[in-house]
Amino acid sequence: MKTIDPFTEQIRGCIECIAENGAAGLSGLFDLTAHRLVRFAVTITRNQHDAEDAVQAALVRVVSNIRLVRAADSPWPYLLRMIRNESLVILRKKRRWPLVSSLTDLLTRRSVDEVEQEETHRAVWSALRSLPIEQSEVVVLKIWEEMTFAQIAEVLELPQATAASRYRYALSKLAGHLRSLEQEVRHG
Amino acid sequence: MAKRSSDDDSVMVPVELLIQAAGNYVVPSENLRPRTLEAARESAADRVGFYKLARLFLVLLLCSALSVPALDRLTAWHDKSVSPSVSEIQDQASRIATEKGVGPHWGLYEAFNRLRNHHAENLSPNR
Repeated sequence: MKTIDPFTEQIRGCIECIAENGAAGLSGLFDLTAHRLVRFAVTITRNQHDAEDAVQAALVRVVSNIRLVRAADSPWPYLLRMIRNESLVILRKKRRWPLVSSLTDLLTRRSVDEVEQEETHRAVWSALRSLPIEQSEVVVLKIWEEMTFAQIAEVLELPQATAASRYRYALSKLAGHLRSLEQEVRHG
Repeated sequence: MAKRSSDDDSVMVPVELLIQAAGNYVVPSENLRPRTLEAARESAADRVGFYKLARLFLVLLLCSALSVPALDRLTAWHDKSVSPSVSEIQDQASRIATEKGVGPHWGLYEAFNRLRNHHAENLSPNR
């Protein structure tokens, strides 16, 4: 029997709400997914402002094409694919390579107990930005979205083996970038 | 799919943990929520306006498609039912008088007789 995780159930509930109430029902889906969608879009656009534009455009499209979204077998991968498409459209429109090293565009959360970890987080985000987009998006989907390679392959529309090898390459590169920091973490 | 060796794991797992921990570091801006909801509302309103306009256009198209043949029939009926003018009757009377070699009064009588028959024919329910 196919099991459906609670997050997917919640998304389905939000989609039903939009189908019933139109644009007025979008707030539920926004509150549930905005953080994860922005995080994914930022890894593609390399700029938070553009990422938020992509999220906005995709969610507006969800409302106008609610029947398609409702009919999707897996709504979360479908949403991620929409975000990816919108992000790539924005990236193509800009026609300039985004700044890799700078993190000044990012809006970050700093709770008191995480202040000392901020440097680590910044290093991770900076290292992620140093990867090619096709590798960083696999990392984000694998680690932050906790997807299997089969699910990642579905979102990115590529073979499962390609997704897996991109992940391996990406992690090796990230390990190189973060090695020094990792040593500090281990011994600190 | 490539298998992981234990050496790989010793490097990858800490990196994965570091990335995992940084997942909530970036947050959406505060204005994204109202901006998105407003854009969705505007888009929905635009769509409703577009559908209304499209429906109005279809109704107009249907009306014109139905009214053209109706107008044609009405015009044809009007053309048939319109009576000739006095001068036309007089012309017809003098033509009949000349053709049949009768007086103008009989010509006029014959012209009116033909007109009455024509009207009776138009009004006949069997037509």
